[in-house]
Amino acid sequence: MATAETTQPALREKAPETLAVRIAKAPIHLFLLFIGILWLIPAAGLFVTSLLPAAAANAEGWWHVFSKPSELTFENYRSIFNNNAITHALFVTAEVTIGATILPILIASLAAYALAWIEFPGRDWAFVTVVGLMVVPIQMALIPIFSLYNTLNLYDTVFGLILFHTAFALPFAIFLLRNFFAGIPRDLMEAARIDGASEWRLFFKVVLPLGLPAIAALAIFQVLFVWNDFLVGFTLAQDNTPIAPALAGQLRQFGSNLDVIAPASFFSAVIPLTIFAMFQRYFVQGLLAGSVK
Amino acid sequence: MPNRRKMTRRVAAWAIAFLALWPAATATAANRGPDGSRGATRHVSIMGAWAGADEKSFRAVLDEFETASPATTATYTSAGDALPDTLLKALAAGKGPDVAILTSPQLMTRLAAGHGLRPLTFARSTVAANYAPVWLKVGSVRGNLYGIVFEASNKSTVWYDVKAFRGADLKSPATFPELLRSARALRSWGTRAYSIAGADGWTLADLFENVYLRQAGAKRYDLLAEHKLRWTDPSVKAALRTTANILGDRTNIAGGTAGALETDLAQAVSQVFEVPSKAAMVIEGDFVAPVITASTSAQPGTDFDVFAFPPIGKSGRVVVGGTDASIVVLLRSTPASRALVSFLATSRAASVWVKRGGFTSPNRRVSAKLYEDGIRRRIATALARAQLFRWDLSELQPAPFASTTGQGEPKIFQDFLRNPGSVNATATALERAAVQAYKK
Repeated sequence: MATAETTQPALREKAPETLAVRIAKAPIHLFLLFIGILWLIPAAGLFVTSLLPAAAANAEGWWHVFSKPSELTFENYRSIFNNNAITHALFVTAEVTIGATILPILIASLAAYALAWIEFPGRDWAFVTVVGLMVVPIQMALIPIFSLYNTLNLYDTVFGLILFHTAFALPFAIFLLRNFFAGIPRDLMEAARIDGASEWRLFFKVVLPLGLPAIAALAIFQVLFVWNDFLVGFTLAQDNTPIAPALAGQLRQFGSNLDVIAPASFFSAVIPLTIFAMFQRYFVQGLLAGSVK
Repeated sequence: MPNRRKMTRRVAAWAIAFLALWPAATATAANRGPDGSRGATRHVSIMGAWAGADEKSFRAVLDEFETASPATTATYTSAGDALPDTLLKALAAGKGPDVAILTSPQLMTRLAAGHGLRPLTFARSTVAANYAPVWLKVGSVRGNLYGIVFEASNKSTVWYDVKAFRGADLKSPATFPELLRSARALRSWGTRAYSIAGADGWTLADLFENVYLRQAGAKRYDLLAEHKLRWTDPSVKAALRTTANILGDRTNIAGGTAGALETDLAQAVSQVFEVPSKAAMVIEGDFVAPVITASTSAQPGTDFDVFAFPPIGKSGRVVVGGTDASIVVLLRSTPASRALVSFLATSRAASVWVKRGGFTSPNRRVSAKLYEDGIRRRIATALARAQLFRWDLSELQPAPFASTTGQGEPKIFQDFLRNPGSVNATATALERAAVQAYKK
């Protein structure tokens, strides 16, 4: 958001703040800084722990590192990237996340277009049904889907995980996109129709570009949800589990292997954060390009 | 406008490229095991709970197995504490491992009853040659051997302050009356004898179990575990009276009864082994050792040591086993999986891990010299030479009764600590709670 705002002329031309204004704003800035640091402490703790050798991480709290910074090492990261179970899980997570983000967006945007702009009998009922499906909890479907996947040989496959996430993402995706598409000015759509655009052309040339902000928001939601998912991966996969269940497999009540768990957790958290930061900028630019003449 | 078109095209191109490519990627991922292995002459898959350093040590055992059985490869998958769920799910999907290493004897009984396990008849002679006879019984369900106890924990241990014992001129007590005499001697020497973790009710239940198994014997212990014997049975009341010799010795407990009820296990351990110490002994399992080293500066041998919970009457060498066990079971019988199970029953397999440290084997053929220190050596020897071994009752009873804080056994034993004279009321309360828990 901040990056996008700086591109706006209004912000660039802003007069420099006087010292008095800065001092007046200082308490609120300090408070915000304090809140920000407070929020970052767990992540910082995880990061420091991920850089400590196993013995040091188990023996004392991560904050002791400030008195002994020489203990820090990237050895843990080197060993998790040599750990086939972890790298395989990361690879599977990436595959599932990409598949389970693109597929529902493709299907939902087509469905949302139809529900918003194509007149057909029962359209409103179809939309109400889709909205109704949003209340179905994932937990309710896990066991029946597990049995079904067993029969269809989809258990423990990346494709099976993608299908499950796609199915459960669709109701919300359709709901979100349909409402967004419905907000596109009717004049614009009619003008395109009068100019002879087909439904496909309307979809690809008008609706989809204008809908990019909503699609971006949806993609970010979906990436974060699928990447962080534990329950679906744990239930429907075994050798091809995503990273969250794979990390859970490393947890023991009476044993600690922080040298594996901390770097893998930090790495698995950094990837969606990076994607979020990168794509947010890209998509917000897209949004501005579409709305400002 | 051209920017927007370019972007839409780019998104569409990426989407199409991905849709075209991912089935191929998926297929590759599905064919690859978590360890990246592909085809071998003979292969055995193992699932267990060991992770981290334990996993590395077990992999060293598997390396030894591969050396002993050429042309056989073994792959291990860690399920951590989620092992029961992960294993049952894998079995339901028909993708169970060949061999599993269970942490709970209850799960072994359940799987054996559901015909999920293969009997280990082929390994019986190896187990008999390597283990004390009691371990054959421990691994059997209805007379068939289903499990080999590869690793066990010992809950029949008493941890003591070496300096206090030396000061009072005491040796490790060899009988229960001697333990009580030592406690009195410690009091007269100037320290309280017991540090009781009354805030953790389960530690009180552990003490009772140790007394009951020694005093009432295995048969009654088994019946009580299944609630085929009432908690109001005279044997239970007699064991409660024996337990009251410790819990009722109020002036000899650090902090008295009220203090004990507010002390959890970690505090109970610290108040014995930190300087100045408030008591001389803490009665709990082998997991106390890491608590001592983590929370105090006490050194093994010079500051703290351990002795076996002494026999009561003619009970002999009795051990109550903790929940952190490793029981090898066979799920799919193949030449490779049978070879691995037989190998894990040998001292060669256990010795690999014992040498690496952090492991207690009940295998009596493992040389005691291999253990890293005298403390672990004593704990392991007690397991290997046990004449009678039973799992902790909380492993065998329904959780609402045995292992839920603030209710059932833990709560009733806390009330008993508050009033150790109330033997009849305690037995009645235990019976009432058991009836409710076993009904469900």
